[in-house]
Amino acid sequence: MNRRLGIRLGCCAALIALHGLAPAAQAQLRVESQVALASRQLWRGISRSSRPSLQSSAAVGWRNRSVGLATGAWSNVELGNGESSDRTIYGLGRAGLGELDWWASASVYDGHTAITAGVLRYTYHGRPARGGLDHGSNTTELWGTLDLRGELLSPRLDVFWDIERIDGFYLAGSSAVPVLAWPFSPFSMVYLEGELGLNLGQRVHPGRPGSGYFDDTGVTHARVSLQVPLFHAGGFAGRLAYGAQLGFDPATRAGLDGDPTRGRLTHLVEARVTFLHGGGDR
Amino acid sequence: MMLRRPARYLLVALALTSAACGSPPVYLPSVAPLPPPARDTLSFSAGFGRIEITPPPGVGLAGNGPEGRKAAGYRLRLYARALVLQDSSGSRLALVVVDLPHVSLLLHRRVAQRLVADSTSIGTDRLLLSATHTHSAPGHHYEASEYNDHNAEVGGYDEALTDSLVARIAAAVRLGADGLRPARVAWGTREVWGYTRIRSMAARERNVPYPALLGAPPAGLPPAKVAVDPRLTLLRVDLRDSLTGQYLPAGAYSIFAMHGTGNSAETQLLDADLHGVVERGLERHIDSLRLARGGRPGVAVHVFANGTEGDTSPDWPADSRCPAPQIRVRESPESPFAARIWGWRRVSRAGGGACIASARRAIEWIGERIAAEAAALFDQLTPQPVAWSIRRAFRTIDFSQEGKSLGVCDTPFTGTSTAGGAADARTRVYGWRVLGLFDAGFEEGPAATNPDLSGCQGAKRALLGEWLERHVVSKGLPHVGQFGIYQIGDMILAGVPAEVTTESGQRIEQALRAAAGGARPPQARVVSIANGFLQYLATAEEYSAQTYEGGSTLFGPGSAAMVARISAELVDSLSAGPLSGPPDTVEARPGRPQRVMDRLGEPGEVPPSLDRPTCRGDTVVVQWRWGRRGEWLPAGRPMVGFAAAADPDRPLATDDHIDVEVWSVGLEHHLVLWEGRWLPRRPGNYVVGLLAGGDRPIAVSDSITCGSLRGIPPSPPELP
Repeated sequence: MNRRLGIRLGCCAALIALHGLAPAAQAQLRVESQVALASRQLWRGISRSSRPSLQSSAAVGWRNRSVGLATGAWSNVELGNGESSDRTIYGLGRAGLGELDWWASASVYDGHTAITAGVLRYTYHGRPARGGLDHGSNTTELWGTLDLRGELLSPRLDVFWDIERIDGFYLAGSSAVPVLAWPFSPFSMVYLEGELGLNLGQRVHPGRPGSGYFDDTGVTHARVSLQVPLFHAGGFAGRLAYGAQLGFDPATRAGLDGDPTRGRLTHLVEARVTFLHGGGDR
Repeated sequence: MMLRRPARYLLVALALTSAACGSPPVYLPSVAPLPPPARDTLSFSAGFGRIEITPPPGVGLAGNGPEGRKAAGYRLRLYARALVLQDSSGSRLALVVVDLPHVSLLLHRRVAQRLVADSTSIGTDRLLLSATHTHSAPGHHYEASEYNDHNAEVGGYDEALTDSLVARIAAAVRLGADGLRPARVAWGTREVWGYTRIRSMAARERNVPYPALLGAPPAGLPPAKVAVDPRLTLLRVDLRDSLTGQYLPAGAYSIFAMHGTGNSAETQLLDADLHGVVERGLERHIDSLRLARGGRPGVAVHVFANGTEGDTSPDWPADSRCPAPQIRVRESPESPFAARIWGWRRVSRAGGGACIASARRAIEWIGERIAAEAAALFDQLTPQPVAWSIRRAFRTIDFSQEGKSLGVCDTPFTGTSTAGGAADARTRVYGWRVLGLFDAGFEEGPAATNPDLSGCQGAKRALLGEWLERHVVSKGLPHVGQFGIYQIGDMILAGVPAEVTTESGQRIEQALRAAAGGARPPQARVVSIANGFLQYLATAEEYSAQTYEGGSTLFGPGSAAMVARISAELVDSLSAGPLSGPPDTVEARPGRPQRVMDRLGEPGEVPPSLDRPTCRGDTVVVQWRWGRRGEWLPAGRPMVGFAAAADPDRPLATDDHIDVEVWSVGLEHHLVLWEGRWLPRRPGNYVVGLLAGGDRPIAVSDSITCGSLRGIPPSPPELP
């Protein structure tokens, strides 16, 4: 059994196990799904697809007071045909599923602090003949998160370690702060979210294309996004986000490859609908 | 670091634009009563009425601003209670108290219209309609759109709910008028200490001269408990029995200063709260007196009005207040992809259950003790035949026209301290900081005080700045107030359409006594939240502190002095006959009518039914199906009764008892699925009977063993 199949089966087993736990612990079961229409696919600051894309995810998690388990999947479908200058995972010329990722995690909680460790499997379904990525680019990462869910800022630190194809680590620090709060029903709020990426060894080695993601070691990008609520009904929440990213590493610049003076600023617009069941939040 | 104005502008700019949107006007004429009816009695007469006003779940629980929850069930049911008095000349007065957070001018005038149409001879000027101020009852009936829209998490002006309330309140008065019988009456006052406290001592202590004690407090009470108005004033009414001719205790009208905030804002149940316990406690006592003298029990009515409660809270324990919702990242499965969503997070269900349960115990403890004091006062009084005349004076003031000439502002403003909530009922925005750094000013005291005192509103820092308050927010606030003075024997009642602070009330009472003059000036009492609602009434000194009460005094620092002045002026025009001057009409904009209350659903497909009860923790839990969606409860009649298995015909509690809470948990076959939770006082073997409004149960459950002495109810059920 290859590694890819093993991870998928593991995720499926975790999903089935969590559903089995659900009747016994209804209040602790959380199900979340998201659908987002994004102006591009940004991943660690890199515009992996500069076409509009439809991103969807599903996750299910179980948590008691101090321990949690979760698993889910994330996908990206590139829309439109794209132009020759566009970056792509699926490939130019038609729309299609470029990436489908699976993950599973275990967490421990202490008050508003969550520490998570997980495994993440990236699978690519593009057409190499048209510039896309296929199974040959699939890879696996271990990841860990420290999430401080305080009243303000709520900082979070993610660490990713590729255990299959790429050397080194990638760190992402993020935080958010409410800017405007609507004190009346439906009690929504506008908030700013910031992200800073740090590459520790995931650079492309000379003469080995595909051996990394970045050109340099160090800070990759900084992004600030403004999140505006659109609606909140039942377990559904709609939001509109605008993000502006400043690329420090050439790979995180949206312009043409090889020209470090262009595309330092990247814009991202995203409309997202989230369904969340469980958790007791409003 | 302060960034007050820009932060506030941004925070609520959308609210203002919504308030500015046009809504159809509603015209509310005053109604002059018909000439007194032909003299049909030679004696002073009285009659009582009581009608249930509990709406179906789904309405907003008003009084806690946006923190008020959507009603999901009920505990002590809500009632309108009325005492109608008539003197020997036929001059009538209706003293009405409703288990609601507030009374609106719209509600008052529409009830009066209905009463005049019903030929009760009770018009706008003869109807003293006030609220107990329970914060666990609906709004949606105000003439001011801001109060309809932002008084709970469910907002909107609901014409159907308003019409139903009007019809039921009028029915209670009509019962009283139809039941007028010769009466023997007596006023009395008793000091009740230890169950209430001043919540804004910093503001009260600014008054000059320093406020005098209003009685003789027992030693050892802290200053906040000594500074209250301890007076429980009560009118005992005995009515002549039509069969025996003897006078039997029938009911009472009483006034006591205490906020109706036994429940925390987190409660989801319609509930008459503390006042409901006091009302029922004295009613049970009077019924026991009637029974002992051969009278019919179950008919006593205690009309329990609120006094100068503006700065007076019940002395509940701190753990009975649930924390306000906080900003948190929503908890979701720990994914490397999911975007984090920020939102307001309420207390956990378990935490909410604990503070709600603590509040319930406090309500019972405080309520029963005040009820015992009321019963003791009732017993002290010796009702006498009287030849009192009933006189009243009434004035409607449009502040936009007369405000400046009366020494107050012509435009209502809310202060920043209003947004943060009172000292013991903070809202979620209290202490809010933009970006976590910049103080938005949503708090009491110096942060809410305007250092530039040149404007009409003086020390008040307008919530959204003067321009927005004047041109947008004020459009949704009330502009008209009704002020009534009512003389019953040697007692003058002042009906004030606001939550009057203790010292403001004292100054109004002093002005009334001075105006009445004479060798033996009458007594005077203020009834708060009467005939309308203009938020708070603080003295000028209290206003300068800009605590919650001062920030919520809409028409500026001169408001309390103005009310004292016009109250005194009204004393000169007290009359039993027709009022001078033409009727007036108030143009109100309550906002766009909305369907807040569920409308009547389809008829049930199956007959009402009862499930087998279970014992969960200490609590008997049972579900039953009864009534369509949106159907009002069987008025004044129980749906279920909980009884000892050995004596199933005598319920120990019904669904109008502090130990019973009822939740609407779903809909089955077009019938509402209810869940009742009863906390037995002792372990035992119990049954549940489905009464469905009838005298006999239509279904009786199997018996179940349950109960303990701990008395802590479980968390509320999950709702659909």
